[in-house]
Amino acid sequence: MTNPESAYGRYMKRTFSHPMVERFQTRRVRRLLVVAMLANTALIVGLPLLTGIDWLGVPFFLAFFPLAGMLNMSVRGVTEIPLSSLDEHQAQLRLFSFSMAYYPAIALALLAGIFGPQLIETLPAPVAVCLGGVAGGTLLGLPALLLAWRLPDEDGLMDEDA
Amino acid sequence: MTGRETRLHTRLPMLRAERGMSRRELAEALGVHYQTIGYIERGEYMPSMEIGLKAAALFSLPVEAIFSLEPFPTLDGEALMRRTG
Repeated sequence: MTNPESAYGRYMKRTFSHPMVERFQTRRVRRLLVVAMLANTALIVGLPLLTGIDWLGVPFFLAFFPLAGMLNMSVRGVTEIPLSSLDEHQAQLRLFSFSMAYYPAIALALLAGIFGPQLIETLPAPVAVCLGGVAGGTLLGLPALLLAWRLPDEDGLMDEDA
Repeated sequence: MTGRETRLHTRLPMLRAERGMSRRELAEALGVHYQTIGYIERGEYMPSMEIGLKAAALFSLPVEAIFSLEPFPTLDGEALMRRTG
């Protein structure tokens, strides 16, 4: 029923269990990252439109990728690590995050499909490209985003005993 | 987290403490992530039969001595019952 754990899965599991990564796994940091992701997305589109400088969103677009990486670290990579490398609770969290993101993702995809083409025509080219990239990234990262907001704090995370 | 209402009570923290076992050590013995042990100990996650049986084998106790749907009586209460009963 369960697939054997792959070398890639073991590597990912080790990476997301590194003590440095665990510093991202408090509720406060997780929620800060969610807010930062949303604010960053708003700045990607908002800044160029407000200032009239088309390339101003590009640095924020580039910042999207490390932010998405940190967000994944904050949820222990449960949406990224192969299912065969997760324990039963982590697998349950993964399924929960995907089911939680199902309807919002469909709604976002529908909105993008309906209004996207018109919006892209009205926006300057660099802003449109960045917005397209971030919209795609947000759709793919929605399970991690919602899980990061919902996960409770895990006491004893930094304890010696842990 | 997933809308489940039933809370599982466990003696895992006490059994770990008695044996000087860390969460990481218990997690390794049971084949799960140590944060999963935290979730189980806080009653936020109901583990599978597999984990329950592995824990029972590890501590050489019946499963119902480690996990319960009802709160466990305090040790004082249990000792008193034995003395007076």
